[in-house]
Amino acid sequence: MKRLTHLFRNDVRRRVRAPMSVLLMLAIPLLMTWIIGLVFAPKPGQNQLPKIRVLAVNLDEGMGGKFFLGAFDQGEGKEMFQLTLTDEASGRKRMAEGKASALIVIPADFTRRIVRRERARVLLEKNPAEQFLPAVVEEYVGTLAVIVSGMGQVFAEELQGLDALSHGEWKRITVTDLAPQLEKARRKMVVLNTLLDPLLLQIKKGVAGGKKEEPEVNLFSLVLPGLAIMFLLFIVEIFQRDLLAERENGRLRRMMFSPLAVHELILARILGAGVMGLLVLGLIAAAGSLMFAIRWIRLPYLLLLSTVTCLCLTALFGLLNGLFRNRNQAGAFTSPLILVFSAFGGSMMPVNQLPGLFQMVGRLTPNYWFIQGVAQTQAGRFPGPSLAVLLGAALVLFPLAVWALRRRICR
Amino acid sequence: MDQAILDIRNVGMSFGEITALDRFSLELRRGEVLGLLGPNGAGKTTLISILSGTLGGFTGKVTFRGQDLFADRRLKNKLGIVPQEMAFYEELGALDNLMFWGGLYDIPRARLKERARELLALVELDNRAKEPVKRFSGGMKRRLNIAIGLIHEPELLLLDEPTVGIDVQAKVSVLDLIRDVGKRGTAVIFTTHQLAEAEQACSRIAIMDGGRILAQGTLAELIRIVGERDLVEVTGTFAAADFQHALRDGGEVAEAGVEVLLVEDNLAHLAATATDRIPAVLERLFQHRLRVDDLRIKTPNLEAVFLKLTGRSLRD
Repeated sequence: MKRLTHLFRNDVRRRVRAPMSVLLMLAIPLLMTWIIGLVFAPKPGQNQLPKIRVLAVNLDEGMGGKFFLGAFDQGEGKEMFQLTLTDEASGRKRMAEGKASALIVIPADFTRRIVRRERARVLLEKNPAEQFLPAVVEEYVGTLAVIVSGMGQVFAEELQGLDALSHGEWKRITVTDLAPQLEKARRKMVVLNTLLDPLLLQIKKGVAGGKKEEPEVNLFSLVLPGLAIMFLLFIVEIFQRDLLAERENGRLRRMMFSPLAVHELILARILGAGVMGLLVLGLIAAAGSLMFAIRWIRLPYLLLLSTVTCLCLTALFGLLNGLFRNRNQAGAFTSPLILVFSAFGGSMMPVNQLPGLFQMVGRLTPNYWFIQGVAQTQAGRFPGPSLAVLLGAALVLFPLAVWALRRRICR
Repeated sequence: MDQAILDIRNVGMSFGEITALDRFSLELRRGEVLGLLGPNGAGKTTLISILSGTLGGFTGKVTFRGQDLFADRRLKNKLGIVPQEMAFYEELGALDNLMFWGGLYDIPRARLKERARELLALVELDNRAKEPVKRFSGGMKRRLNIAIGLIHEPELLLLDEPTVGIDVQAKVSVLDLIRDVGKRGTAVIFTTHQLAEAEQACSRIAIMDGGRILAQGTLAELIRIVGERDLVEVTGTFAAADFQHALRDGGEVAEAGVEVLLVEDNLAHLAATATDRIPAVLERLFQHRLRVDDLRIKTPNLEAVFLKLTGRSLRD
C-alpha cells in the first residue's frame, strides 16, 4: 500500500509539474460547452423561443376583425406572436421575402357574417420555407375560430339586435344604440360567470407513470456530460498509456528491479488513472456549476456514477494498452475508438437522432450509459441501469486488464 | 578471497530457435567491477532482463549471497540497476527523481533525503537539484541515471551500457564514477561494447558472444590469450579472399609469425610475433597487387583478444 500511494503521489506530482495535457483535456470540454451554449442557449431576458412573426391584413368593416386579431396582441398571444398589421400588397411581398411565418387576411364582410351567423372565411397563408412556426399559427387561428363560433352561438340574440341596428353600416351605430344590447350581453356574462366559476372541468397536470414533472432543463447540463465523458476517455487513456512509456524508456525495468511487486504497479496504474479521471470529472462538474450555472441534482448519485465510470474506463484502457507493444500502436487504435464511442454514444449528438442500428451500437459505449446516467440523476432518479452496465463491464474488464498488463510487464 | 555475492549458474534462455543465453555462468565479488563485453546480440541485455525479474522462462539458477535471487523480493533492496535508457522522469527535478526511486525501497525517509543529497554531490548535480531534468545535458542525465541506481546503497549494481550517446568528456566522468562506486565496495556488472571503456573502468572483464562467456579475467590475463604478439591492422582496397590468398604459404609470413585474426573487404587484423618482418609481409601484399592505404601496429590489447576469441570485430 505504501508503494502504491508512493507511485500515485509521483504521478500527481508529474502532472502538476507538466500540467499542459491535463489542462487541455479540462479546458476543451468547458470551451466547447461554452460555445454550444452561446449558440443555442436563450439570452437573459428572452423567452425560450423567438416570437413568431405574423402579418395581418384587416379589411373588415366592423369590430370583429379587430377582436379576432387582438387575440394575437395580448395575453399569451402577445408572448408567442409578433403581430404586424399591413396592407395586402406589402403583406404578400414580405411573405414572398420570407419575412414572416404566416399572413392572415380578415375579409371585409367578417363582422357582418359573424353577426348574421353566416360562415366567414379568414385567409391564412403559411411560409413554405418554415415547418414548425406556421403550424403553430394555424393551430392558434383554428382555436380562435372555435372560440368565435362558440361566442356566436352564445350571444346570437345580441348579435342579431346589433345587425338590426346597423342596417349593414356599422359606423352608424352609436354608444346609446348599443346600450340595450350590451346590457343583455352583460347579464349573460354574469350568468355565464356563475356557470363557469368554478369550472366543472378542472385540468390537473401530471407526468406519465405518476412521476414528478421534470424541472426546467439547463441546456449546458445536457451538453457538458457528453463532452466530459469524451475527454475523460482521452485522459484515462493517456494515463494508462504511461505504462507503455515506462516500458519503452527503461523505467519499468528499473521499477521491476526494486522490491515493487507487479500487482502493486498494475493496481497503482489502474487506480491512479481512475482517481485522476474522477478528479477531472469533479473539476469539470464544478466548473460547469460556476461557469454555466448548472445545478447538479443528486450529487451522491453523480459521484457514484462517475466513480463507476472511471473504474470501467481504466479497466478498458488497461486491457487495451496491455494488448499493444508500444505507445504508437496503442494510440493508433485507441484514439479512433474514443471518437467512435463519442459519435455513437451521444457525446457529439443525441443518440435518439441517430438511425436505429447506430442507436444499438451507441448502447455498447460507456458514453451512452454515462450520459443516460447523468440525465437520470438530473431528473432526480437513481441511475440504476447505467450503474449496472458500467459496473458489470468494469468487473469483467478489470481481471482481463490485470492479466494483459502483467503479460506486457513480464514478457 | 571474498565469497561471491552473485552466482549465476548455467542460465539458459531461448527465444524460439534463437539461443540468447547458453548455460551462462558467472560469479561476482564485493567491490569488483566486471565489464561484460560483447557485440549486439551477445546476450547482455537478456542477462540484465533476467536479473531484473522482467524476463521469465529461463533455466539455471541465480543466487545472491547464497539465496535464490527471485525467491525473496526483499533481496532487491540490495540490487541496483542503471538501464541503457534514461530511466527517470524528465519533468521532475534530480532530487525529486532520487526521492521517488529511493521511495520504492525500504529506506527511512530521513535517510533517503540524506542519501539523495550525498549522491547529488557525488555526481556533481547538487547545484541543480530542483531544476527539471529535461534541461540537463546528456552527460548530466547519465550521471543522474547512475545516481538513481545507487540511491538505496546497493551491494550489486548492474550498468547496461551507461555511456551510450554522450561525449568523450562526459564519458570520462561516468567511467570515473563507476570506478569510484567499485572502490566503495559495491560489486558492479558493466555491459558495454566499447573496449576502451572496459579497459579503463573494470577490474575484471568477461568476453561474451552467442550467449556464453568465452573468456574472463583481468586485462593482463586476457591479453595473455593472444600471447606476446602485436596487433596489425591493415586497411586498403582489397577483397577478403585475395588478402587471404596473398598471405597463404609465404615464407615472409611464417617468419613474421603472422596469424590472420580477421579479414573482411578492405580491412584485416593480424597478430604478429616479429613486427620487424612486417615490411616483408607488406611487400608480399604489393606483389599480389593489393592496395594498402594504412598499416598500424598496436601493442596487445583487448581488441586483439576479442578478435582472437570471436573471429570478428566487436562493432559487428
